[in-house]
Amino acid sequence: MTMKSLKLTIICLLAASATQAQTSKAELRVHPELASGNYCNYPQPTGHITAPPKGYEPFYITHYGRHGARYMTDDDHYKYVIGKMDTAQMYGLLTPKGQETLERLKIAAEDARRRDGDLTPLGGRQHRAIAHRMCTNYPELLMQPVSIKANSSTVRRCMLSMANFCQELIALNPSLTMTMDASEHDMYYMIPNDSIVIPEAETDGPLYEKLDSFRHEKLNGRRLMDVLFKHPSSLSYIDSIDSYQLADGLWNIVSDMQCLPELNLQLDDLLTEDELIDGFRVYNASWCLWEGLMPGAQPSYYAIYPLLKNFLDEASQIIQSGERGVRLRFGHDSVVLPFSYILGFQEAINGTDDMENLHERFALFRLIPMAGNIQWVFFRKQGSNDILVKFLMNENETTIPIATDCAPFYHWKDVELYYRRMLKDAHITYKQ
Amino acid sequence: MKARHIIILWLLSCLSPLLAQTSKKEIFRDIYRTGSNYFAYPGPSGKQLTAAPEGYEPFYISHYGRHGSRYMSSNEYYVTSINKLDSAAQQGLLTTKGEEVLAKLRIGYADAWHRDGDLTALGARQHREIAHRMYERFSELLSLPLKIDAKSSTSRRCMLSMFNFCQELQRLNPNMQIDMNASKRDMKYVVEDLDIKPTPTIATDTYEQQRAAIFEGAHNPRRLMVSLFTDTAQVSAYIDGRELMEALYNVAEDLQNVPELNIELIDIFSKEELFNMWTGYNAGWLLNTGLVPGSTPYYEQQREVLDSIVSTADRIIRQGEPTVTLRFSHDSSVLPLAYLLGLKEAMGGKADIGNLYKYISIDKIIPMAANIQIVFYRKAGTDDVLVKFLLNENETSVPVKTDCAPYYHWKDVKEYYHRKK
Repeated sequence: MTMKSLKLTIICLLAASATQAQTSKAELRVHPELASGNYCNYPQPTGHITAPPKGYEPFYITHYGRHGARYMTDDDHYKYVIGKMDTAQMYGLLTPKGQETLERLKIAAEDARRRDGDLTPLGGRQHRAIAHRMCTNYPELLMQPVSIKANSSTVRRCMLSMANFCQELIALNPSLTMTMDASEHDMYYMIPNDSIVIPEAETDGPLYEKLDSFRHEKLNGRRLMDVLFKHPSSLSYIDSIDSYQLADGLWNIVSDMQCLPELNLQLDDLLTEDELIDGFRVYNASWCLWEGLMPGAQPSYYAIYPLLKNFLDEASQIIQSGERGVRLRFGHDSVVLPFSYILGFQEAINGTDDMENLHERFALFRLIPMAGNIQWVFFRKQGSNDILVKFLMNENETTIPIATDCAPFYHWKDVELYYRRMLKDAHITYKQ
Repeated sequence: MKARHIIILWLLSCLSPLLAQTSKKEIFRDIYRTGSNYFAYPGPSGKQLTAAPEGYEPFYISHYGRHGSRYMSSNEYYVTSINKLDSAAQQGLLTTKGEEVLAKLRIGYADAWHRDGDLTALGARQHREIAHRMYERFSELLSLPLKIDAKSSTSRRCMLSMFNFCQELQRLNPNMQIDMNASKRDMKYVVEDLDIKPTPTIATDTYEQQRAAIFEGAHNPRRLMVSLFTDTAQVSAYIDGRELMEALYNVAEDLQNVPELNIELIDIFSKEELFNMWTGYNAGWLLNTGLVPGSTPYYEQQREVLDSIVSTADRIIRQGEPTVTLRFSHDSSVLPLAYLLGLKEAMGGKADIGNLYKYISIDKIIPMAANIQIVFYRKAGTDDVLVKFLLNENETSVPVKTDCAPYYHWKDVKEYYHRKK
């Protein structure tokens, strides 16, 4: 590294850490809706778009987006919470608050019946809005008769997200040519590739033990047990209720209401602000560990490397062809999160095993809200071979840990070199 | 009703099954018809649609469609045929033709790998084209800023069919608001309910024996084996000709749905062989749906979808707001629905299993992207609602009297459905 580029790197890293968003408990109290973890409604992007250097025009966008707002993926939480409360009611062991809560939970459960994991109407709107902004932010590209290739995970909510996204694009520009697909054929890069060997990490086990204590401490459910149930002096049915499972279930149910504004069912009062935020911190830490973004954790993100390769290969191809294009992919949080980490996005790289304070430097709502997405936007200039690219996390410009003289734009040759080397250094092996 | 009218109606009802009859000659003219439900959508006949009676305008279309062209729902047929031919190749027992077939199978399988049951590019085009024609044929309705409800089976090929269909509509009319969904919650309005188990009828076993005899008789692999293998006696140690023939039929017929591959295997069979196998499949489909007199009425599984189509139409008539309802489903749903609706192509099944194809021929009903459109018309100043039925975009008839064929008075049609229950 030359002195000049070293200096640049330092400037970049400083700039990155300065702008790096910090999250305090106080901030979450002002915006409790953000404390819903991966159920979080897609936050409106800041709207700040840095103009590219003079003469540069966007010619390619490559994108990976999570499905929009959804129902819970199964009815386990409803089953446990309603099951326990229903039985307690039979024994006359529900408080008035408990009885009234049970009524509301039943309305929510009935609405969710046979809709496990389905995209909600809000989920459809989120994708239409993102597509709409893509057109208005990059009309030089999207309002041309370009070809769009879209793939989705084989899961229905992702497919419907794709359909909504593409529908909005075609409404705005009928001259687009689109292909949509959702096939097992493409799953090796669209979802975590489970054929890849994930290197072991000795410290992974202790981290999971730590997480387990953290979860049980924060979601202890003691207050909830007192509020919802009567406690007779002798042994009773109530003693069979796992207060942790109850608290976890309720946190999930309450948080998922973010996805269902049409239902107009208020459940916010079931949890105190602290309980809501504690649930958020629990899932924040869980995701950080599950995906291997915590120092010492097993690097599960290895399973996402095929996606990086797909981004690189297809980008190279379109650059070489001289064409314009848009490439859309629709999948899951379990891809967006580790992918943002691999890419080195400032929002994803500051994980720590200090679970108490993790949320101050790593917050799920910046990474994997419903419809969370990553976009690379490519620019070129007539008469120059220099290609620039910028990175968007949920449509906000972000940084990657390499040097540039035109942030938030990066020179593609540097970017490609950096990621290709990363792939090489990962020594990816496949299970036999 | 006047006696003369009754006679005319009676004559018509006798004639209409004849008009729909299918002959061997007709099948030979387009041999890919022998693919039964693999038959790629042929498109409408080109016959001009009958103009509505004066003053009547379309205000609602209820569309029910099968997914478009797809890969085989399982690649087992590729695996079987490649394995068998490969084993023979190892021992040098393939004829030149056999070698050529194996090479083509390998190309086809490489393309189909991990695409079991997926919609093909042709399948997507079929749906875009159907949507396009719907727009062109009923532009008075489809150029309005409609709110459209679209629902699909939860199967991916149906969902992608819906996406392609809706995208074409949206392209032609950016002011539409189309709500697409595919949820288990709604399946009773979209696909047949397999939990309904009609009691098997007495004739079922006899019919099944007759069908099996036709099917097995059609799968005589002698000629095919000689054409593929240099020593049929030797390969018979590990190749069941009957099994191989069935596998190759499925592969050869499904290839019409992947035209980009530019591979044909249909010529490994004689037209006669294809025709014979097809009659077996045809009879199987009709018996399994209950369209043969005395067969088990499996079409009852689709009754709730019919009820939903009727009640949705009634609601839209009441509310008066023009719209379109789109449903995307499967062959096993379109066929019983065609029967429940009384579409002439699905009526007239006879107990003569050997000649069943003459009366009902499923390539006419459930090719890939098959669809039924019920188009509703109204006229200012009258409450009378007219409907017409399109099967695969061709006007068809239902056994209901009318003074304005191919249009029917909706109230008469509903009465027929009520009586038919």
